[in-house]
Amino acid sequence: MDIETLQSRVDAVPLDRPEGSGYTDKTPARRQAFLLRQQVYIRELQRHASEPMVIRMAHCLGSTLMEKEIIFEDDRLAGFYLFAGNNFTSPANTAEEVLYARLDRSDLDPQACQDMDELVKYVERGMCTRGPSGHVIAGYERVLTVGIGGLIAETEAAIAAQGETPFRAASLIICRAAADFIRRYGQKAAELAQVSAGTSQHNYARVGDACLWVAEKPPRTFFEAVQLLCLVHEIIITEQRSGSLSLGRFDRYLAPFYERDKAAGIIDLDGAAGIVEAFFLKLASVPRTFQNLTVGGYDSINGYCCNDLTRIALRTCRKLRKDQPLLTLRWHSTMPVDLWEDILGLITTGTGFPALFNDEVCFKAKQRSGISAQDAEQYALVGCVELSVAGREYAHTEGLRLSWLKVLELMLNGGRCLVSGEEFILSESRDLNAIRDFDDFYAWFKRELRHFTDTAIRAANLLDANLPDHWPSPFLSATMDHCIQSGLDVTAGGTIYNNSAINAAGMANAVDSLLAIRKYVFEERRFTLSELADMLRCDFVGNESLRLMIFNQCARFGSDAEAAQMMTDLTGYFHSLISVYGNPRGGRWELGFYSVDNHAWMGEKTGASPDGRRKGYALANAMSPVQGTEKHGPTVVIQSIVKADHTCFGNGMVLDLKFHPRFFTPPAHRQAFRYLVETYYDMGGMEIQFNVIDRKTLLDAQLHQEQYRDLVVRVSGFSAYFTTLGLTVQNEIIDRTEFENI
Amino acid sequence: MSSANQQAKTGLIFQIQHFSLDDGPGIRTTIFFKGCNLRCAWCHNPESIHPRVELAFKRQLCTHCGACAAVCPQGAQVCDDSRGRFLNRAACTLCLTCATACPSGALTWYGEEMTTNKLMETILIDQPFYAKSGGGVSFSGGEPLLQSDFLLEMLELCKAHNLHTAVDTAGNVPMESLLSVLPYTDLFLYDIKAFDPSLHRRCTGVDNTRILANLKRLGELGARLWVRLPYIPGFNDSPDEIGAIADLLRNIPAVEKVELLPYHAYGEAKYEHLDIDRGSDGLRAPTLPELLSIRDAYQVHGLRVECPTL
Repeated sequence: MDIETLQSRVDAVPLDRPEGSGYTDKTPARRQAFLLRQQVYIRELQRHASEPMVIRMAHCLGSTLMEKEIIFEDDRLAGFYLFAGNNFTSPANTAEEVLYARLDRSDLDPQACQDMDELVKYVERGMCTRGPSGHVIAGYERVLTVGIGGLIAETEAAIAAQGETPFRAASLIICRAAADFIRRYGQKAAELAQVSAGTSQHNYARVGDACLWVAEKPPRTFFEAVQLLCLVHEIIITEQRSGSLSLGRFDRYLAPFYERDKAAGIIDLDGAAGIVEAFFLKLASVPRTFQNLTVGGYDSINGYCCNDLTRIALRTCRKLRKDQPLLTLRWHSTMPVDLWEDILGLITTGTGFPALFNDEVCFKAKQRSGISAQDAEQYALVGCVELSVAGREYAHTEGLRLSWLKVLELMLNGGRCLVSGEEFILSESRDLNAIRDFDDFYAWFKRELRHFTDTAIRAANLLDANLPDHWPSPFLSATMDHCIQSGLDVTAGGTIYNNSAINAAGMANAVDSLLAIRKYVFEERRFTLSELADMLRCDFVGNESLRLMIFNQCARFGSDAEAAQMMTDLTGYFHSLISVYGNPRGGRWELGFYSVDNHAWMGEKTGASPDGRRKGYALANAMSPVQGTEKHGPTVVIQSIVKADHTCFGNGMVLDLKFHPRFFTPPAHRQAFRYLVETYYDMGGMEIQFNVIDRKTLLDAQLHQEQYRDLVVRVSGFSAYFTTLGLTVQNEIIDRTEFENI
Repeated sequence: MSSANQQAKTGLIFQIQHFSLDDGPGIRTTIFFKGCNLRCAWCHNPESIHPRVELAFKRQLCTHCGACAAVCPQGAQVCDDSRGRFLNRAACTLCLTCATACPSGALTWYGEEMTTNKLMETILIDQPFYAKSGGGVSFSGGEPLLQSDFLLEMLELCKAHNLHTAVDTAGNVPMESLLSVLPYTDLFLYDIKAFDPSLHRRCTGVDNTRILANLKRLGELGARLWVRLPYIPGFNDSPDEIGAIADLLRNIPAVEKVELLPYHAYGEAKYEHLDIDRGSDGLRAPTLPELLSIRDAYQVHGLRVECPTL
């Protein structure tokens, strides 16, 4: 990285983004910390310019920690969270990644260059998204077991036995800095205890003692364990630009500490709940950051995990009603039935938590992605809904997202984007009038889907190969299994599992559109493909009646058996396309069917579609049917959804259902809700999540934003404060079908 | 029940509700039969009454595109600049050409002739959801027993698939009809609208002697019974009524459960869709204190009633 580029990037970072719209924060203390991190990163990158990048990054983070002001926002727990925004620890965007790839590598052939140029266009024009890497669950459990000192000792031993590598040197630098940082918290807390009184004095003293102990040594108590977790998480998010830094199976790995304390009589349920609440508030201090926290779940060593901490997590989320952490519950047939009351208690708050995952399907999905049976049982959720093995998997879960609907748009318009006019390369340029039947058209769609998928994956692999040279993560790597042994950073494939993922978007729109084409063009011959293409180019202007007819009468995924069949066919086909690819870290490509909030953004960049959708309107959310087209209720939707094989979704999927709050009033309805979910799972469903809020409230919230600042809604695989969402996303949520049934 | 209907083995259905939770236990599929021989003043399903297809017009969806007027062979559909779209129901032959042509879904129809096989196919979509929840199929209406041959065949088919069955009836049918379906019916949802015969006639247009006799007889035969009491403030909530209904139901041991169903106005839009002017009917939903006090009044008379909406 040259210094000029660095400086221009720093200048480009907006410091005053509106609240909730990004990772930065307007409070003076956070702004200060943000600026400090930037200054230190530039300084340290320059100072160590001749060193390998992983060592330079260790110095950057180490010095940031050393110079970061120690701030206490809450006397119950040490920790001050800041998401660093776009600066140095990941590429600013795909175009910048391509720039670096071209600068670094003179051996790129013309095809490689073309692929990368196409990907830049894909990302600009709503065909693809590409997120930063590093959506991960750090090795928190390992740190709680061996302490930071254990990481240092392991690194030293590896250097002695196998020699020094740049990463091992970096690991020593950054782990020592981490220990010093935690010690500074301890010293500051001890000072504050001196000048405080009462509860506050007690709290600061407890924090001080804990920090001084866990700076290097493994925690002895539940409180020390949460305190160490809280500070290691702070260091991880200081290192990573990426959101989606998730916490893993919280109730399982903390249970031994809690049970030991409980047996010794030094903690009770309320005491633990207070500590968990303080920790959750730390997570909530950085909104919209996708910090997923998993509870429950079966594994063959421990059985189903349902303990006091499971219930505390559910109840604390219910009490706080914050958008962080994203709470996920792993369901298994062995889950105690009475846990449903706590689950329903949280679901009916309407925050969209917990998302509910089906263990058996997830185990199989992970194994299909190359994860061992034993590790698959330890999956937890990253970011929205990505299945990941804590501490052992560095998966680029947002490596790519590809819109099936945009493929169709380009086919019908000679490769030209309907919104921007930009031209894309198709695999075949065809005369629409020469397409004689639907089978021919459908086969062509599949070939183009393959073409765009192939191009995007080839390009993403070229870009991923660049990550270790520019954006390594030494501290994260030190916590992860096998990195110290292999001597490699996570971005270089140092840990055990190293997959990349491509996620689909606009699936239901594409299926409905294909069926509309079959019906109106090839069966009823109401209009030709060219005439349809003309209508789409004009956004149906002058053809509103025809648009309404298509929208209201075409077969819809979610209520039509043939649509479900086509979705199943395309899902299997898409999975087969991506399964043949590996990535530069030695991992595989896996498939996800969730869309974050990208279905809204990608929809804005997509022209009118053959299913009667207008230009610019949001795509369907994840795997859910097109908004407002579900007419037969959740059982019928579920039947469509489960036709596809959910074990294809190694990177997770989303089925979002919206219920009116009154639905949950009668006890019989609460019971039925549980059976609905369990039957969905029996039929092979992977994930289901719920919005519980009425349309009127959401419409009112659009008008009176100031009164609804705390209104949390489920978007797609994550929840967010409603008033911070863009208008397209807000409208999309309002238009989802609401099941009332009263 | 027409003889043609018997031969064709079709029924006239106006709605199929999947994920139905309020017409019997568990997750159910409720089939609504079109045609009723009561005329309850408070009916919230006006489209359930007439045993024939009816054209409905949802004014707020109309885009005034004129497609209906263009295709109507009778000229019954008129697009009028001052009044928007207008339907001459007297001239309409219910050919439904207009509704088929309507792009916006404003023109639609209530009532679909369905064969037993076709209906069974739709029901079986929900089958996986019945087992865990203890659900099944409910036949409601309208009055399903007015199409008793079709109903009987549906019940037999459900039993062949080992599905739990419920029949939701107002009981104003010959006892023979009830007896014919009894062997295939796991549960009767039985409505009692009023006890006093003259009150019942005023509220529903018919006498209730047969309704009450049928209920007692079903009880004696050991049918499982859930009784449902619509509660319409000012109509059927006098202390005498409550006392009499409580006495009646307490003395029928087969009654497992009594549900109080407060009036709601959700059906009003459907009157508009059918161009039915209700005028001022004096109907209103009960307040929460009223609902609680009625529930308690039954309790005082020794009858436990449940109110699912509470």
